[in-house]
Amino acid sequence: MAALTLRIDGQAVAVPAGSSLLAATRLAGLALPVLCHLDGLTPVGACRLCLVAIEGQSKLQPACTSEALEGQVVATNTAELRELRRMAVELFFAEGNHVCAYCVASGACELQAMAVTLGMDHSRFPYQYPLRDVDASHPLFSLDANRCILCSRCVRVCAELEGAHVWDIAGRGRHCRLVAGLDQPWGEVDACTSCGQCVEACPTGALFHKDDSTAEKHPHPIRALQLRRVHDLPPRPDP
Amino acid sequence: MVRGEMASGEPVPPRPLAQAGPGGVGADSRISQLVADQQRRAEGLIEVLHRLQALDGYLAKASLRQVAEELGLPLSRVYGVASFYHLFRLEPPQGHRCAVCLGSACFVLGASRLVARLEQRLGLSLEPLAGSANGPPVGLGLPRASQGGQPAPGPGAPPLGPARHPGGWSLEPVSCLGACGQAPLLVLDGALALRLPIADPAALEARLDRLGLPRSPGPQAPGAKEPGAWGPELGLAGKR
Amino acid sequence: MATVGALPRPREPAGELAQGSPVTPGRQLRCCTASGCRAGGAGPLIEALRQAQAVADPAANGLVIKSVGCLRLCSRGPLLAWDGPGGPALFALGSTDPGTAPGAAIGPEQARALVLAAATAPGPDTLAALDLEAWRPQALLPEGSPSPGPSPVGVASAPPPSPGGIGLTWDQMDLDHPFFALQQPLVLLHCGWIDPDSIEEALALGTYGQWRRCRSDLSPEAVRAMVHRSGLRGRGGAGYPTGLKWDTVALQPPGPRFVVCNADEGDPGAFMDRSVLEGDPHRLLEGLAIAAFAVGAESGFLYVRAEYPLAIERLRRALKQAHQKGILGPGTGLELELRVGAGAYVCGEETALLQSIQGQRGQPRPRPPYPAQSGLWGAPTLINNVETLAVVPAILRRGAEWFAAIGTDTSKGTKVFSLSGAVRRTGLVEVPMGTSLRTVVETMGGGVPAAPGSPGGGVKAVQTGGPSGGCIPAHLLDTPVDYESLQALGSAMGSGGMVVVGEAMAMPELARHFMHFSVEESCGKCLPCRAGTVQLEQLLDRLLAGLAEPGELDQLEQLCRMVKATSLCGLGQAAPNPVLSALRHFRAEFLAACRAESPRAAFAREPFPAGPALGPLPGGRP
Repeated sequence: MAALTLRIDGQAVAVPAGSSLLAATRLAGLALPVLCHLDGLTPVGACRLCLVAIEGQSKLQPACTSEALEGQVVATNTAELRELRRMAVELFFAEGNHVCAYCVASGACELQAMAVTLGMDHSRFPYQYPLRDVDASHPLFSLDANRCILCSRCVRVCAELEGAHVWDIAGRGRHCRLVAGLDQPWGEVDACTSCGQCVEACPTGALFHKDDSTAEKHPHPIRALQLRRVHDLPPRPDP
Repeated sequence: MVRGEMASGEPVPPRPLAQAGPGGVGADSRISQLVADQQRRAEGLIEVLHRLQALDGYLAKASLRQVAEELGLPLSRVYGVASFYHLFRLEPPQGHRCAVCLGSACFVLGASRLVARLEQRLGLSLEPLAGSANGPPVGLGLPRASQGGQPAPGPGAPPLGPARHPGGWSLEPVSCLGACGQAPLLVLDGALALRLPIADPAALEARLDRLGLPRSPGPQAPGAKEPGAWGPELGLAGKR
Repeated sequence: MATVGALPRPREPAGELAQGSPVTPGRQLRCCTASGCRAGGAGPLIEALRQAQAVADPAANGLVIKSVGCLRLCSRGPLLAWDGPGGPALFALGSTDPGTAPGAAIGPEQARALVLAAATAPGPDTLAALDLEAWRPQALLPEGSPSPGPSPVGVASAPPPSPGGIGLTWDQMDLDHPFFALQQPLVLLHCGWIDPDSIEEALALGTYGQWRRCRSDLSPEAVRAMVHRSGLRGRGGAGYPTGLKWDTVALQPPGPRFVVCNADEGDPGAFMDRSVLEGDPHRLLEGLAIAAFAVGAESGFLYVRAEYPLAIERLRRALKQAHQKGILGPGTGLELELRVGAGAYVCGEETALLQSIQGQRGQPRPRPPYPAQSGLWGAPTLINNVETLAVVPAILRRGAEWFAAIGTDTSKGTKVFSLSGAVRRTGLVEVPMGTSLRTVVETMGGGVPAAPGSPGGGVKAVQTGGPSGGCIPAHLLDTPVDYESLQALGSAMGSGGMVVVGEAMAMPELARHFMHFSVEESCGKCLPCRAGTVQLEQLLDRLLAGLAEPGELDQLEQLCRMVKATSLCGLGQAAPNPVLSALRHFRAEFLAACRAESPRAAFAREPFPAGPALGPLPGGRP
């Protein structure tokens, strides 16, 4: 298999051709913050946290959707990028209704962890306090849209892996929201197989098991590993 | 509001048709025809929705369900598309539609003052745009300087609902219609009203009276209407 | 090029149909029925004129009454152009009541008088002297009403005393006025001359001749080389070299490919593309066909915004006619299809447009891969703007060198601008690249009239490029209009909207207007545009409400830079531009809108306001 080499944060790394910059960064042993990306799903480049600076390009590029190219020189952790990421996380907190103290996912929430990682202890932007719904119509799971960050991981996992396409994003701009079926109560959507993959894919406490209470949502023990195996590992050479 | 546990305002659409596809029980043959006109291709979805709205005036959920089934698309994808585009309406149209152009040319000539007058006359708020279900953010109880300095409702006031008027009027913004040479303008039930004399308050009031706009909120019969210059093909027409 | 006013008689080789051309009969009335004039009642007007001709005496039979595209001076619509001895001449019908569409108010007697005068007048002056008031329905003839001669273009003559009902004015426009005389129509060459619903008229003027020539005489490489040499750059805003784009698509690995015409003209204050669609649709179809030939595409789409119903109607008819004549469609190697948007500004972004054509939510995706590599259904796809495609036939006909000789070193050819806002004469102007803003706005547009009761007048700024562009202050009006000069000032060429701002407009309020537009039109896919624009609008709200402190301007700029640097598509990346350019050129106005810094804020100033505003402080600015 063809390989190519590039420099990421000063470090030379060799990756299989066709790898994303995100995969290359991980192969170099470096971490990049992501929220909308989930291994195994089509990358969309929506959360803008994995933006990196590529030498010779004036625009920042999302590592998840950009292909690693031979000889690239990439910076993933400059002061400018850190500040932009911090502002992005602040915007995430300000646009929804995120109250960690009462949240089912506290302690296992990727948004919360991101805030801690990036040193964001409060938002400098005014909170918007949008009016959003809670949908508890499904027998096993619930959706609390107050905690939704519109990453669309649930949409993609349901459409691409389960093949049910129960979820989609409706509306536009700040009015975007997650809907099931024809904007129906989740429990009334026949397409739902109750597989629970959307709950596993959700980075926050927006989708959760009904019997979980505050700080009781935990990631599936091996799901992430399985997904990464599907997506990231190079295909095995033919025997 | 916890959905599924208490009655929501939106009627739940009927359960799936006994037999999906053309000719199924309860299937609307008009919709089957629209889908067939697009050779049942998924890429024809937007065109189907356009024609459906031209027939019914809006996109009913039961119709969207049939469109999805006949095009072989997930329900959520059809709803996602229908709710994305501003010109698609998911609720039955009001009796009268008043759309204000907020393009730059109209704005530079004082459209925001026109909006303030219309809001006062109709008792409606221009925002939010159609398609929003969550309402506007309520965090910032700021007066809007562009609306003649009238204070907006504070955080204690009821949230601004969808723009509806007891007399059957709706107020909405419309993106630039490219008639900038005749700015500022508004669209009443699909007809353009041009060159509104915003600089002269008395003339503006007289003009709005002649257009049949009620003087104050509350049900009342609209007065005589000035003839319009443009047909309803804009998709901005009211219920006929 | 010799011009007779704005509308030089098309001088292109008329081709095989030159004899008995329907375009140049003895006498004709060309009625503008494009959207602007239609809103002024052009529809009922042309109907009334035709009915009057049917019942008028035989003298009127020789007159041709036809519907044409934009006649440029939209502020005076409905417009009528007259061809005859001493012509052409341009007339504007007006009404004494600004709220009434003049075209809808014309009475049968008045229409008859107009038709007779047009059919018999020995020269334009006679026609200009026509007194419509004398034929006013059910009204006493006003005694000794003054005979209206040619009035200064764009300025309505004083209405005659009105004895009740609606009075009509009839003014001749001065075609030697700079508004017309400085125009150099390439894109709009036939617009205003031909009936857009008649393919015969288009053919008579040579439309589709270059498409035919491509297929019989030229290779795709030769066509691309010509476009390359012409120096043509994309007219949609970014100014990417068109020849390069065509090469990129053409040189992709073998397989199907598509061409797309982006007619989703969404910038508020822009209506150039609409005028091409409504005035000369066949020219656009020819340009698109040539592009398809040059890149090896066998099918293509025209994506038109739904807000342009007349453009859609005329384009549909044009496509049908071209199919019937065997110029396009089966057997010609090219299938074109029309797709109608549904009200989404973001669909003007190319990747969002492709999504919409495929029946999806119009949300952009990251580039690369560019549509030239992977577009519709994964195939290489060429996307060009209406104006770009419409000028291609002229380049092929007259040669790349001829085109490259027009304009500046880096920006070749002409550009169509839609002039609107507070300016005296609004309408369409097509001028060579490099023309100064002052020429367009003041010499041609007539500047800003003084508001009633206020001493001042004059241009404060010109907003170019719509919500992605910026404003240029009056003292920089001598800037030449080309891609680089406008960009250097923090604005952009954009698609060609030019909104003139008068002294009465506060720049922070204009900045908020554009930010509000971006908030409403954001697709919501990426965070900075979805949430950042909302915060930006609220910061501007605070400022306009007198609640912001001077330090918050830095916060405003910081967030602007964040949204600009991190948004996914061009809409988000450009959304802060109107704010940044207003801050750059009119910072004093922003500072004046701030309240004095409170001691507490000065002590512990944070980069962003920490919570909801509490309302104005006592003694603060209202």
